[in-house]
Order: sequence, then structure tokens, then C-alpha cells
Amino acid sequence: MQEKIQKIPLYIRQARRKQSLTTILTAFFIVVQIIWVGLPIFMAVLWSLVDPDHPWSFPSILPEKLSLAQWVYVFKYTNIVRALKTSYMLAPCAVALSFLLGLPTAYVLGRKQIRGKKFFETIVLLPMIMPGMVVALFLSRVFTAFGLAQNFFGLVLAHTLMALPYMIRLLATSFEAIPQDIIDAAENLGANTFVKIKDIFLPMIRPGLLAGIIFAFTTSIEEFNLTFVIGTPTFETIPTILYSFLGYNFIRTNASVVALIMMIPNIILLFIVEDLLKFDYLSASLGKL
Amino acid sequence: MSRLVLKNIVKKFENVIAVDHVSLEVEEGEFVTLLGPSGCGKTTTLRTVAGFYQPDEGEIYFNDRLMNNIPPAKRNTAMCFQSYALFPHMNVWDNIAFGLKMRKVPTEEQKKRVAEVLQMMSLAGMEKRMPSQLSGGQQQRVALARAIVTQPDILLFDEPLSNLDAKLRVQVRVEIKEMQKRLGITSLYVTHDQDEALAISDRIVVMNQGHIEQVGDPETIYLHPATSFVAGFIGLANILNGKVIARDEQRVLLELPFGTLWAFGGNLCPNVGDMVKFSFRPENLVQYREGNMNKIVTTVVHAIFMGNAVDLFLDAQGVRLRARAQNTEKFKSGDTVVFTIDEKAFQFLE
Repeated sequence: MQEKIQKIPLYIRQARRKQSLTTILTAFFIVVQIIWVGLPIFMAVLWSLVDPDHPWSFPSILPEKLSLAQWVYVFKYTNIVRALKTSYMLAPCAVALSFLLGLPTAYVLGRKQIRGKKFFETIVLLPMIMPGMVVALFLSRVFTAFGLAQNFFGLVLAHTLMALPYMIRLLATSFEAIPQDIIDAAENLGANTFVKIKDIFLPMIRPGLLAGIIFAFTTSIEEFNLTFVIGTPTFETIPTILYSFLGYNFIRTNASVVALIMMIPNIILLFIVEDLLKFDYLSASLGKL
Repeated sequence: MSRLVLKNIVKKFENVIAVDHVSLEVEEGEFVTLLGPSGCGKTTTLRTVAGFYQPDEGEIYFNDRLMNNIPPAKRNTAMCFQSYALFPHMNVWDNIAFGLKMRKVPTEEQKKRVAEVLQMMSLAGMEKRMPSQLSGGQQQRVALARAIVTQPDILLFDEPLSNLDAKLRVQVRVEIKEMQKRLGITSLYVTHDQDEALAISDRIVVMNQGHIEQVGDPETIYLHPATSFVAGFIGLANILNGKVIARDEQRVLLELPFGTLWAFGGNLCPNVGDMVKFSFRPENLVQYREGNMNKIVTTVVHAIFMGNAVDLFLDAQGVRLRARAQNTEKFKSGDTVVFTIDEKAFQFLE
């Protein structure tokens, strides 16, 4: 009798077992994720620090000697500085243009009932699934015809094209998530269209807008195909320099340096925006029920 | 402050008629409730007054001014939403001051008026909080404060209490009523909760399937329902059909499966041979005593103890009846109980 009372009931034991399984699985996937993302970055860092006089080859697990020689080489003998300037001038322009073009489209897709909405939503996403090189090959003819090849504005347009689907998609979802009651309340209190946009819509789509900016920005920074076809040789960006170290004359050490130059600002940007997103208006707007 | 007049309002969505020729007048300072089940058109009517919907037919007047083509922002109504619809990115102060800013009220006066309503709604000290940091009841009060601070011509309420728990709901509805009486703002209130409607309104408009079933003060609606819908929707009612088999000056004798009942018909007294529909409330059935005119013999089907009363489900020769008995009495299924009913308790229905 005494023993029976002390015995832990079956359902509690099952629950505990389930919980520990969840913990193990979570830990497992976190480890996989760290290896998956972290290892390439770690390898890139190592490769970028290989000393040219002491090549890193089998069977040594780590490079024999580390030096900044590869970094010096990239900065000395390539146009990386100019490419950085071009990339970081292009990206904000492309972000701004995709915001201006995407905002009205996203508003309509998110808030209006229109015929064929699903169809338009899919069309908008097409550039995301089309192979970049295919788009680049055929679009280059159009760009050349309009005098937009080898032209900064042409590149802005090209990058905008690739960034736009992300911007529209994220903004449309944000617009959609705003409860109609809040818009009605603003109107009821006397807000005109301008005030509604400035004081209600824009602050409330801010999380989606920030996410859209990150995606558009990184898309532009990493865009290779269109830039290569319509921009080079007049314009070089970080990816076109990166690709020049790939292909037939594959130089892993230099490619690692350029890859890191491309990647690190994006990661920093991600953390900054992540921090800005701490307060989630949309979940707050639903009130406490 | 305004008098609100609706004339033959019709509103259709696709092919569904949401509001079907609704006419209504709300006097200055009056508190009128639109009451009905979901889908009866009460919210659509309210939103038409606010200007969020354009009526397909009919006219809306504030005093003598035709409002049909005035946009919501210019109607000077203030609406309290079921979801509160507070601006989540603004703190309490900015939420309340929003309407004043839109009306270009000078900053000094804004400050004074916001501080006043904060005081009135017991929200003082919460100016800097964000809506997400408030409880449901506090959010509700901010929503109310935001509405009244603009000194609207008409206050509109769209089920403002349905997200509150039962106790708070009763408390806030008293607060709303007191505030409305003190400020004297014409109010149109939508709810599906009959208790709320009875407690809060000067007059109740009972709506069903887009049209008005009955308009009257709470006593009239409860005690003298005009239609079987109103009788059934407000409170509990026994709704029965009977045949008039005799009558004297103001009374009729009704024939029912379980016997005959004398009912006071007043001026509306039906004729002999008519089939009539009528209702009475469960609490109208009281214990039969020798000498009572009407006698109903029933069998208890269920007896449910409700705390303040016992809810009885009865069977009288196949007719189902509901009654309320005192909580000190004991009943069990199968008991035979004899009731009587006062001749004036009957309501003849359309």
C-alpha cells in the first residue's frame, strides 16, 4: 500500500520522458545548426589567414602559420575598395526604390479585396524562383536597348528587381496583419488619409518594413548575375570580385577574404535590426483577451 | 450633441440584406441599444451611422443635417470597439489625445482635457503606459476616454464589454451608464447580451434578420414583448399556441392540451375561435392554491439548482414549460407540481 502511494503515476512519467526527449532533440538541432552555419564561417576565417609561404594542405588539421597576407593581397591587387563603395551605394538605392515601388503594391495586396489577388501575389514572387542567370541573360538585352547597361541607374533597377519580391511580400503581410478596427478607429477620430499613413500604417508595418529592408539590402549586396551581365566591367561589386576568384582560377584563400568582407556587414545588420524588432506592435495590437 | 434619425436604411452585402428598412430616432442625450443575435444587422446599422458603410437606401440625419455623404472622419461620432482598437504603438496619453490632435485643438487645451478624462476614468498615472501593458479593463477605459474626450455628437458602442470577464462587465456597464448620463451624449449601443441591454438602456431596439422587431424601454420589452422572437430572445419565455373558446369583456378562455386558462386580453382581446400565440415568463408560474382561477398540473422533468432559484423543466400533457421556484424548495424528477398563473401575466404575440 505504502509503495503504491509513492509510485509516480504513469502519466507524469510519460510527460517527463516526453519533455526530456524534446530537450535532447532541441540540443541536437542547435548543435547541427551551429555546425551548419558556423563551420563554413570558421573555415573561411582560417582560409583567409593562411600564410602564402606555408600552404595549408593535407594532413594538417589547422594551417601551420597564420598571417594577414591574403587580406593585404586582396586590398592591394583587386578593386575591392571601389567594389565596396559601389556595393554599398547600390544597396541603399535599391532598398529605397524597392520600398517606394513595393509600398503601394503591398498596400493593395494586403488590404484590398481585388479580383485575382492570389494570381498577383504569385506573379510578384516570380523573380525569387527564376534562376538569376536566366533573368540576367534575357534582361540584359532589354537593358542594353534602353541604354541601361554599364550604367549605375541600370544597376539600381536590376537590384531593385531582385529585392522587390521580398519587400512586397513582407510589407503585404504586415499590412494584412493590421486589424481593420484600428484603421476605422483612426478614421472615426478624424484622421485623413495622410495622417492614417503617417501615424498608423507606417508605424504599424515597421517590423515588416525592417525585415524587408534587411532582405532587400542583403539581396542587393549578394546579387551577382545581373550585375555581372549588365554592370561589368564598368562596375564591380563585391560578388563580382568574389566570383573572379572562383571558376577556372579557383583561389580559395582570396575568395575567403572577399566572402568575409561581403558577409560580416550583413550579419551585423541582422543583429541591429533584430534588436530594433524587440517590441512587436502587431501582437500587442490584438489586446489582452 | 445631436438627435439621430435613421430613415428606411437598407444595406446589402453581395446578395445578403444585412439591414432591411430600419427606421429609428434617438433623442438628444438618449441611450439606445440595438439588441439581437449575431447577424441581425445591429453592428451594420451602427457602422452605417459611423460612416464605415454607405447605406444602399435611406437617409441618416444628425439633427437636421443629412449625413449620407459625410466621411467618417467628419461626422464627429466616437466609437468604442469590441477589440478596443487602441493604437498599439502609442502610449495612453497619445491614444487619448489623438482625436484632439486631429481636431487641431490647441496644445494647452489638449493637456487639460486629456488630464480631465484620465481623472474621470481613474487612469491618472498611466499616461506613459503602452496599451500592451494594461489589463483588459484598463484598455477598455482608455478606449472610452479616447471616445469621450473629443466631445462627440454621438457615442457609438460596438459590443464594448464582450471581452471583459463577467464581474468586470457588470461594473463597467454601470460606469458607462453613469458617464453617459453625466455628459448627456446621445448614445447608440450594440450588444447581443440582453441583461446588458436591460441594465444600460433608456430604450431597446430588438433586431432580428435585419429588421426591427420591437422598440421600447426595458420594462416594456421584458414585460410586454410584441413578437415571439422578442419574447424568446429577452429572458426565458414559455411560448404557446392556444385556441380562444370563450370570452367575456376583457378576458378570453384559452384551450390548451393540458386544460383551459383565463387570460386578460385588454383592448387587443382576440375573438372566439381565433388561434393565438402567447407567452409568459417562468417566474409567472406560481404554486397553485385553492380558489386560483388557472390551474396547470405538471410533472418535473429536470430541476436545476441555480443558487438564487431552482430552474424547473416541466411537462404538462406533452407541453414543455419552464418555471422558477424558490431555492428553499426541493424537487426531483417525476414529482407532480400544480401551478397557477395570473391572468395578467399573458402576453399575446404577433
